[in-house]
Amino acid sequence: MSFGMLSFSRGFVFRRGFHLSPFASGFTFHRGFRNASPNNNGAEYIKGSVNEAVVLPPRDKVAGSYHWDFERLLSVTLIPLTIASVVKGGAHPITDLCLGVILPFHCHIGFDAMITDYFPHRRNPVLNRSFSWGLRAVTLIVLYGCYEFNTNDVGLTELVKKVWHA
Amino acid sequence: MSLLALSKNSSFFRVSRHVLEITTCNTRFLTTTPSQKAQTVASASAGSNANKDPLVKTFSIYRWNPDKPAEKPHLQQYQVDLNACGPMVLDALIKIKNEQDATLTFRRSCREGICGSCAMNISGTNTLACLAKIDRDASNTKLYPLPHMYVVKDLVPDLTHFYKQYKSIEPFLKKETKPKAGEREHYQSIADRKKLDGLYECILCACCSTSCPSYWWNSDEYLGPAVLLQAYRWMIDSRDDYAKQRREALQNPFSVYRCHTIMNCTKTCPKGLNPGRAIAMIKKEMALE
Repeated sequence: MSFGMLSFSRGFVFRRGFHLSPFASGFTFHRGFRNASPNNNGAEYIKGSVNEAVVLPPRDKVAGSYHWDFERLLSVTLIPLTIASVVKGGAHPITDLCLGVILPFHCHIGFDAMITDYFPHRRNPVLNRSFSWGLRAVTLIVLYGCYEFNTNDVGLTELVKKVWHA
Repeated sequence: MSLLALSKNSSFFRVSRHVLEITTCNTRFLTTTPSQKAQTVASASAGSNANKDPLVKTFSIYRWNPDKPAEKPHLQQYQVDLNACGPMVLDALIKIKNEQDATLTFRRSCREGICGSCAMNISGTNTLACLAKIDRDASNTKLYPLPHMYVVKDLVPDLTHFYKQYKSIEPFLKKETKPKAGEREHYQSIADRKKLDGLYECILCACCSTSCPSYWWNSDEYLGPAVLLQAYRWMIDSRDDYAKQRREALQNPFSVYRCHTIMNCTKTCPKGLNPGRAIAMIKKEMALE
């Protein structure tokens, strides 16, 4: 299927004259050839005909509701944990341990959501993979760092206290 | 009645309904005969600004012509006398199309906020042009098509993908068993019907979905608030038997879970609906499974 003349200016000009909005991104020349299908008026961003429903991604409860549940569980656990570490005056090895585990996971999930939002796998596979693995590496380092800090140094709660009163 | 309207700006306010003749004020007519009265009624209803100074405002409207695709989209200014125009933005658009530039292209149909055709971005907010009052204080009103949508022409966005996403949630009643012989209605209690209030009124104008940043970045796979509102509408319909399957279909990181409760959708809905809450309810129901 020939796409005729496609001009590479600031955006793409499709054969039938659909204008790429200045804010859209990611649709490459090659992708158009691969997704070429009938009855969508030459618009490459429509997969399949205009009358077909969109195909929903494959079902995966782990990536779906279980992930969401886990994320909220961590967030909810952090509330009493943070309050406890603020209020508690004395020894805080337990809260430090919990914080040192839950906080890195909580932040990991948060950053992972950002990566999925701005570099989704279908659009930026390379960046997505590199950022995801980089994030995992950093989370592991932070986990180890928290462990080190909690065992061989003052601990997270004490650190915040010192910085606060410094 | 027309004299009452004309004398609104005058000092003489109290005009008896039965005594129409003489007023010593800014009106041009001292006495009215029936024929003259008919004339004033006609001219007043024709929207003439005979007694008002023209209130001219600028409308900056996004223009792009697919027949000349190399020409970059640009804003074109139009001057409209608001005193000779209806109160809504759609009235101004139609006036411009009738009197100044017939090539201005936009969708419209019902002019009463029920069809959802005239959805566009008016001074930064996505609403229906037929329900958006022209801001008489602002010197300039900017009209853009719905944000982050492919543009067919001028203010007309391409909603094909939006409709395809709507189709994917199967927006129709699904029953497990066929109705028994003699049973004609699907019975529903008043309480169950009340659950659908705030959901069924959606006119699929796409204002909410196109106001959502998550939908801007991931419209391929994130369904968007409008479609999710309708998904919820069918999930909680007591007559529908496939609620569980509807929820299962959304079990992936993108269809629902790109929502981060930004809440632009609820803020911008021209019908006053709450898609953000519906999405939260979907998440809640999915979490408890």
